[in-house]
Amino acid sequence: MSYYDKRYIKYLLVMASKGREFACLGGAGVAFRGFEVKCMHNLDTALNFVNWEKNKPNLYLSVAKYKNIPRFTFNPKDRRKETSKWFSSNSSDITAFDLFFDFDLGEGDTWESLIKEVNSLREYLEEYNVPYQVWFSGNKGVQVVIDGDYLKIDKIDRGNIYPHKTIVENIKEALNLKTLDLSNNGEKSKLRKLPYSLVIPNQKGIPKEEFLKIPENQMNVCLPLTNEQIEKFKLDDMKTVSVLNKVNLTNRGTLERFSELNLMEKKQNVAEFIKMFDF
Amino acid sequence: MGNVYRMEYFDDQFKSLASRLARSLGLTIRQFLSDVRNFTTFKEKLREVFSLDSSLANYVEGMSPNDFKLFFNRPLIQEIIETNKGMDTEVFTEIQEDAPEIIIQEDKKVQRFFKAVFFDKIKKKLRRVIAKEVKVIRNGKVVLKYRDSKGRFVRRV
Repeated sequence: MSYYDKRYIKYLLVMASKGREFACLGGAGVAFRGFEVKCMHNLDTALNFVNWEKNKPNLYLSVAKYKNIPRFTFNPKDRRKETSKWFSSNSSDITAFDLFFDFDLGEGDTWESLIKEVNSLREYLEEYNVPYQVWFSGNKGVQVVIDGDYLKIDKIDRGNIYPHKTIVENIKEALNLKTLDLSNNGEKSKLRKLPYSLVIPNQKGIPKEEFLKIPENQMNVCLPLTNEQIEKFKLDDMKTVSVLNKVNLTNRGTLERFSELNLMEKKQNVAEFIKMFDF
Repeated sequence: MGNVYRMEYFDDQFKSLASRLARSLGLTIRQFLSDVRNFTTFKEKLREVFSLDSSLANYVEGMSPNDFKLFFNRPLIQEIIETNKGMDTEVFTEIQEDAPEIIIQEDKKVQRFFKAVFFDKIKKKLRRVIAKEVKVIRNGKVVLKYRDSKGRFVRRV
């Protein structure tokens, strides 16, 4: 049975997708955006539409949460026109925007140095009991996310979300996080990987026909990481075959830390954490 | 205004804003605070200093007589009053650099931040913060200190 046919995997994907734009990009040239996944049927529709088995695109979610994502045509010719219109005018539909830290291996970086920087940020998140999630991005990075429900949007200016954009920039500078990638930081249409989705590793420089042949069990899972998995991080443990054999994925969720706190406490802790970088 | 944590915050804000106001008037902080000699002159000075920040200015307007008394009795204020009575205790002084005659535009410099800790008296434990360097004068010598974003002096780790 294919990975995306397993009900407990579909459940995890659907739960993570609620209220966000769903997208399939990459693989064999797929570019599908502006979709909402509210149930397993929606997920199946999207995967069938992009012919995932053949084209193997990456799956993404928006960093923003929306109160309403319109239903667009599946006619490829007209879809782009409709979604472009929505992208340029959807600021009023955005209800929340995550604080998103995208750590990426650059040239000369090692996994050890990247994990060290992730832990440098985590030290402060833990100190202030900030609810956060950490997952492997699927290829060469780690993503740390603080849900947008805990931080109000002050303004959306020229497509950028504030104060979120500034906060991430300040934290990068204050903690000297070299591997923290600021590309498109704070942009309202920014995407992040869908937790528990599959990624073909190391696509760059490999001909399309070659990387599409990579079997599913050798792809990587965008896996939400426990503290132990972060400390003992190994790339091989992120392969589909390893994850399915060693990790109990049933109802695993995105492993948000301090999830037992109530909403008010989470918001207060996030505010306190941010104030620390507000010179 | 009874919370210890809040009172320490107000102490730091008073020092920081008083330094700023003194600098803008071309005075040392000691000169600027030299007229704080009793409860009445303290209240006037507090209003003057906190007027630099709109939220603090609002707060001062709403302070009760008891709130003023609590602030007046803080070690920081009492030290200032003792100094002004002519005792030989030196009030904490920030370095004030002379205003330059020529200002040359420079490229943006990278700011330096440091990991630091401070002792949280309410939670009774060391807490991690981020700090920037500041130069201060203590007993006539220039020393490096570290302040966090709330203006608290903290210990670099």
